[in-house]
Amino acid sequence: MTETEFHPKHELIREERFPHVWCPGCGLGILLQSYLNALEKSGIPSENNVLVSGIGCTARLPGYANLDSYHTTHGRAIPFATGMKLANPNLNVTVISGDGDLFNIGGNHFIHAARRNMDLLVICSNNFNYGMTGGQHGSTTPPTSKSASTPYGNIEPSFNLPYLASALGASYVARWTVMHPRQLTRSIKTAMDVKGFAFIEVLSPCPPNFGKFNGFGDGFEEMEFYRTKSVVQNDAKLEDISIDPFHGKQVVLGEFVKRKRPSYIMLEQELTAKLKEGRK
Amino acid sequence: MKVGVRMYGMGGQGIITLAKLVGEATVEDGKYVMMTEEYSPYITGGWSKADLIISDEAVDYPLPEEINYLVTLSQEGLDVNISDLNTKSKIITERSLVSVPDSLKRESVEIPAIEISKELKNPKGANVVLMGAFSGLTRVFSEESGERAIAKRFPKYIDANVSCFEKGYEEGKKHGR
Amino acid sequence: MNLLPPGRYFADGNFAATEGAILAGCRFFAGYPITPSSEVLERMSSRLPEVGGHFIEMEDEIGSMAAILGASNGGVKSMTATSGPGFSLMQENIGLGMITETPTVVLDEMRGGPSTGIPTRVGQGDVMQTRWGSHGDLAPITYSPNSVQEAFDLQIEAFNAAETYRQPVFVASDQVVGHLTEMLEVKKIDEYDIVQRETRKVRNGSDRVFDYSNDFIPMFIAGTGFRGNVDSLTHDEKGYPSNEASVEKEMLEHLLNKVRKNEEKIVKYEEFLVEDAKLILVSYGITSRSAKQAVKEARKEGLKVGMFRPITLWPFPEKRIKELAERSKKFIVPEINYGQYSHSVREYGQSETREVHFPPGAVPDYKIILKEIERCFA
Repeated sequence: MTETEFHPKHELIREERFPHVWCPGCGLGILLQSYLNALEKSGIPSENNVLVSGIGCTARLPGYANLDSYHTTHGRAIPFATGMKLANPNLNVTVISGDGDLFNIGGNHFIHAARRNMDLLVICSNNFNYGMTGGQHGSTTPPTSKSASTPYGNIEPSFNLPYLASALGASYVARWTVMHPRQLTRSIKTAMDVKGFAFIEVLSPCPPNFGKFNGFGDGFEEMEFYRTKSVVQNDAKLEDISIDPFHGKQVVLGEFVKRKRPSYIMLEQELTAKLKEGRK
Repeated sequence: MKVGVRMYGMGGQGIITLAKLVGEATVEDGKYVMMTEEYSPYITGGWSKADLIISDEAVDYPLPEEINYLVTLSQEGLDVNISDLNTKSKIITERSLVSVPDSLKRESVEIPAIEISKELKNPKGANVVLMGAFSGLTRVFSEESGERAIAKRFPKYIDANVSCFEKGYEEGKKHGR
Repeated sequence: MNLLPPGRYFADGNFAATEGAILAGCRFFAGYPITPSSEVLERMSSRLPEVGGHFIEMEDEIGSMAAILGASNGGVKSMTATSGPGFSLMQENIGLGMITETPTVVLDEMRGGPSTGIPTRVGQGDVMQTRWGSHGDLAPITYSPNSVQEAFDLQIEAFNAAETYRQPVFVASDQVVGHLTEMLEVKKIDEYDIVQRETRKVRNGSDRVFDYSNDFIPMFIAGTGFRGNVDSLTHDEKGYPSNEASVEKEMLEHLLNKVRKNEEKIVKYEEFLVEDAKLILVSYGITSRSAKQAVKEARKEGLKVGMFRPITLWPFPEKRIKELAERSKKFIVPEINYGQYSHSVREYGQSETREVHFPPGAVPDYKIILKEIERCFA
């Protein structure tokens, strides 16, 4: 056994900030690792990558990466990232935040950024509840499942995020779980090259909250549940892939959308060029 | 010198443009001028109003303390503003659109602005005719400043508008001191 | 660069604010249409692409405020324009700008309130909101233009203050100043002092993101190799979040002191006939023009009254108000609200302070202020 002094990713993480705040069995470490692997493989200079997040457990992730990282207000990572990307279109701006942040409080910004085909990569770690505040339910909580604020079971339907993103016109849409780190890494690397709005949903366990409320013994058990319940199907009909694992439904994963559509930055640059041409 | 001017018309008549032209010409003349605008709450078809204060000195209080001149392109403009006028106030109207009661005839200058603008083949220029009339009557700004303001605002239609202005100026001058 | 050519213009306040911002180097605008500031957004949409800037109409004011902070951290001077309801929505992210020390400018054109209020008519009800609007302790800087010329000039100063003190800076204008048309004199660009942003690029050894012992530390720009963390959580000088009360104290006192220690440099005011005055009107924004008229009329009656006009509402011109209080002993504060700035005048002046309330909706009638002056001398 060889002993290493450094973490294998020591150049890309802020070692001095470890141990991190996440619970045992949380999937966010895997997501961080997958993102950094994708970044290395992409060949994009790491200083050109900027991470932006909102508030919540996932939103802490950028702070552990040794990149320029912006931990903003709850739900507002996407508009903050939008401003930054427009200010400097050469940046690779990635938003990594949770389902509550991106789709409950921040849902309006998501739909508009996707509609604009804004040149951002948005990675949503979906753990089906608000982890940081103690496991209350949100817009992604599966039907009938329990949470700190749905003690009798959730009566609300939940978002089908890939279907939503696709309907809005996103250029790239995928869904994985943290039990699929290789596919997830490849997917993030692919999305980094996409012109326009790229969206990846990553299912991730939340052992002390969603897991506990719904009968999972620990994080691994919850991960296993997603793994055995999931199937990769790139050509899935998106309207059918809502997440409802407690009623026997399979969790469908894959790279669902890869489409070419003019991105916001492309259109803005075209407009500026036309204006310059007109002045000549 | 300090005069208060109210301009009033219905949406689309170009009353605010007229007020701006007067303001721009006054600035060209090196005088101080201030304008406040007000509109009826309707998006289209309602009234528009502009109050101008023109002075040799900087103006602090942004509301006119008296209306020395009322320029109106609509009957409503005469009816609703009459109570704000004093006995010396002058009224400038578009002749075919406003009927001035006999009691006010002496203070009124009725300009056939629409007719003139049509004759000069610039049917949208009735407001510029009134600008000329205002200038000719009041001499608040010079003819040259008026023409410079027109040239800046309508760089593609200078001649058509300057001729409206000049014709209006002559009309106004007839009633001036 | 397609800037507004020098010269004299017959222009309105919204035109002036837009052009002032562009002259100050603003190259990013994010906003949401709202009366009475929409003309700023509209003019920005046509002007920014001409000068190599970026314009985006956002989905709401929350997103607008977030976007201008993102743009500023991306290296571009940015601003937004709004009015009361939109300003309320921006408050949380204004706090983000404060804690992350991000320079940007928010132009708030006050109208009648509360809630939707009277969208098309003037008010001065956001004065305290620019002071205490966002939660937590703040040391805001707020300019208050009273003319088209100041709408232009103070927009430039606001950008300079934002860059110098690294925080969102407010211009609390109002519906009348926004829509008032009067003379605007624009000088040649080299006659203006424009604060260019200093930045730190590649991190040298143990460089920290923040420096709490230094009022002025250049920011780093995203993507230039600094690898810094910028956080909405209370953070130490490295930029890392902390739960420690001692870190909160250190950070917060730095945020407050960088403004408080420099109040003398920031505070601007204008005085009119205060030398021999036995009574002083404290009046700002559009109301000050009515107040000045009232002073002139009162002087004709032989009443020794003067006017103090804060051009920066915040930081409060504490030192000067205390001096005036010792001399004159009496203040009148007319406002288009039911008493806001008057509270601070009373607090700092420790003198008799009368209020004259004007409901939102119109330029204050100077005769009402004059009557209050006469009452004071009766």
